[in-house]
Amino acid sequence: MADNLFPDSVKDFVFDLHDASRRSLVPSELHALYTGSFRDVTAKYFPTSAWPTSEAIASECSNDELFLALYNELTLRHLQSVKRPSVRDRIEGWHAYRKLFDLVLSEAPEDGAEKGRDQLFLIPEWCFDILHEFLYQFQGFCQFRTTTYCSAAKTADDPEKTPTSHVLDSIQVLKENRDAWAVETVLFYLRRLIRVGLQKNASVTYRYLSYFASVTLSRLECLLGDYKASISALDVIYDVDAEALAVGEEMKSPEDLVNGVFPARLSLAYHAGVSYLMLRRYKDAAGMLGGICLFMQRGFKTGQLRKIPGSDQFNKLFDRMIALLAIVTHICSTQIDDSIASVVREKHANNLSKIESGEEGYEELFVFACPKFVNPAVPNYEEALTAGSPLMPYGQDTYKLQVHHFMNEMAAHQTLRKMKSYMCLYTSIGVEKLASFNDMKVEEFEPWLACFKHKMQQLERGTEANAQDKMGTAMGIHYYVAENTVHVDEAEKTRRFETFFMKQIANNDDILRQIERLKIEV
Amino acid sequence: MTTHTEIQSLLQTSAYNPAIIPQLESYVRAQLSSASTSLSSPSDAQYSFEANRTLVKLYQFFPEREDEGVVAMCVFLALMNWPEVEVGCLQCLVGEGVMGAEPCATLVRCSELLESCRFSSFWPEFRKLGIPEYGSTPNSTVSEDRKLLANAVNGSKCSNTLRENMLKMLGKVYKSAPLKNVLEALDLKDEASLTAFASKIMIGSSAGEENETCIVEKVENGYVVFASCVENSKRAGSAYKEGVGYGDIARMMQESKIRGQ
Repeated sequence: MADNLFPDSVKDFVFDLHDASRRSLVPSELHALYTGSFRDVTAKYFPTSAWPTSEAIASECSNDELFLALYNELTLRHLQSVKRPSVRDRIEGWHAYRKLFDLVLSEAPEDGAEKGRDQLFLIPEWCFDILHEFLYQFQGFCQFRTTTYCSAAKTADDPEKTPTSHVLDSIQVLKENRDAWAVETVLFYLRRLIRVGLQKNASVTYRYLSYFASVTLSRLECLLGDYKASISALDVIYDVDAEALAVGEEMKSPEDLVNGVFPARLSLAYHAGVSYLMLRRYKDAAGMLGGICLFMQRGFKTGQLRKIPGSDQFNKLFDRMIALLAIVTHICSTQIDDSIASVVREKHANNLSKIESGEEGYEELFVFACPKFVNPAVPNYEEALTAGSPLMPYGQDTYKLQVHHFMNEMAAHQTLRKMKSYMCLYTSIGVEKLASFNDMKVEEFEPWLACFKHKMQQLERGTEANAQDKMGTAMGIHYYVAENTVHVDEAEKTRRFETFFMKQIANNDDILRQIERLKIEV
Repeated sequence: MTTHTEIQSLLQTSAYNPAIIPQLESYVRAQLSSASTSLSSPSDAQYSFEANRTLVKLYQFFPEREDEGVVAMCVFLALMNWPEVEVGCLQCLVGEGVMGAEPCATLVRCSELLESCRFSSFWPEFRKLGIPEYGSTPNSTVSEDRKLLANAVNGSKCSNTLRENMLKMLGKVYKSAPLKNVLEALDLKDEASLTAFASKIMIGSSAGEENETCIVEKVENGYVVFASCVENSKRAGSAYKEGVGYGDIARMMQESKIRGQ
């Protein structure tokens, strides 16, 4: 679009956005521009097309390189949401993010240097959107190059077929851009943003970027199948010693900052829930997923969530988390809110009754609920065009590996569930008798008594009173063996009534705070 | 030799730079050498799951750099840390091709046996790893890494580490267990070897973590009696506990007070 074809509202928007993010740094102004004006102008002038290029609007923002990189990312993000990206679009996206992060990091103060005047302000939502889209494009690119490789490899084996020109063109572009979306570079940027934001002289915007980069890193590690790293990435957010930071007019903890941006809260909870499940930390998985599902259920009822951009995805994630909860609550007895428990029972009654009757049912739930794990290695594209090459790059299939590992874990649970159901009927029972109920000889059965305790032993997240993680158990019963007799107790009852009262007091407090914040003009 | 501190520093600054692969590989070998020597010394390379996991991920990112022998060593070191879930974590990062080939295939079987607490079946599988040629193709040369692994398996330190972890698991399940079963589980000959071994293993007693006691109280009438702990004893008093933490109440009162001002 030539300069003289721009509507004034587009020029004004660019000017104002630049001013708010680089000069005046007023949160409320930037918030209105980013969450309101951008959407209005897009809907009016560019509903299915691209915004003007950064070169075209450069004069409206004094050719500010960093702002132009921010603008470029913002408008590219919009374009890729309305138009399916080609391989060249994906490569262009990579260069846009690299440039943006290089410029953001170059303006960050050195560690230990004096804190200078803030020169950049981005609202939390904007920070998260940049990082969320960054990883979304990375994930999409990994899937794209894997499917391109697979299409080429399939036809390479069949002498009568040749790859389509589209596939050949994609392979050529991918070969010329092997460094594009390289996983080690993606990790480098995220870790660097986290480190810079945790420096003592970091401005509030770099702190926002740091915490949302942690959420994004946690997601990435989960997609790579590194669940321990996924949980560790969240440590900075839950650090009780972290200084509060200004969000609008309030001072918030890092956790409250993340919770204040619902898509970030959702992404954190979902990927942490998956990671806890794969690490056998069932109670933490239930706590994390149960909490977010309850929040969402209330949000759906009040219509609050519909106002948030991207809300069309929320239902899908809600369903996936309910499926994960079906798995977790079935493996071990753990407390979740009754309303969520009834949703779980309603949606997954079929699968759960299949599992109860001894058939396999966990795989279907997991395959539905799990994220799209990625193959991070750059494929050998020459191999894809050669007959006899593996059908997947390097024979690697991260997704299948995770499903396989999950199913291995679940294999024992059918026997453990049967064993537990008999143990619950007795306060003491001979090992031999219990073995016969489980259709096993004593020598075959005895290891299961230890296996049950072992499989249910797990780390549990620290509480507010004591932040340290500690070892606990997800078993619903307590037992031990003495002289060939199994002695069974009920597990320690979890606190019920006072937890309920504490929760309601906190909810009431929250509502009163919201009412106090309301400004009523008569 | 790279120290644990240097490795930690490397992981902070250059975790996913492929240039650090040789240093991480060398540290894996150092950890395994330390695991093979029977006496501990200050210069031993401290076990670091984070370093080994980072290396395995670098292999995931750069498959052409993958060294199957080193992967096997990482899995072995994780196995020594059972009942932590570390072997499972590595299995989510290593392709089935490598995990299905020896010696990883035997390591995976060993891990499965530990996970299902079939301790007496574990030892024959484990001992196979002590034969460097086991699972290799005929007429192939046995690598130095494979020999290093075999040395670790044949040394007493690793076996004793595994025994200690198994004994602690048994101590959580059993108040008293048949001596024969315990000896088979730990691959020990007789009562004397069990008593000698168990005398070095202390656990926190049910009176409190500060009061440590030997994990095996006594061996009597063909039974091994384990020291009492929360896991292998009847729960004292009412199982029904209520109570509110002081920290939770104080925080709530503080927040209400601030709002009321």
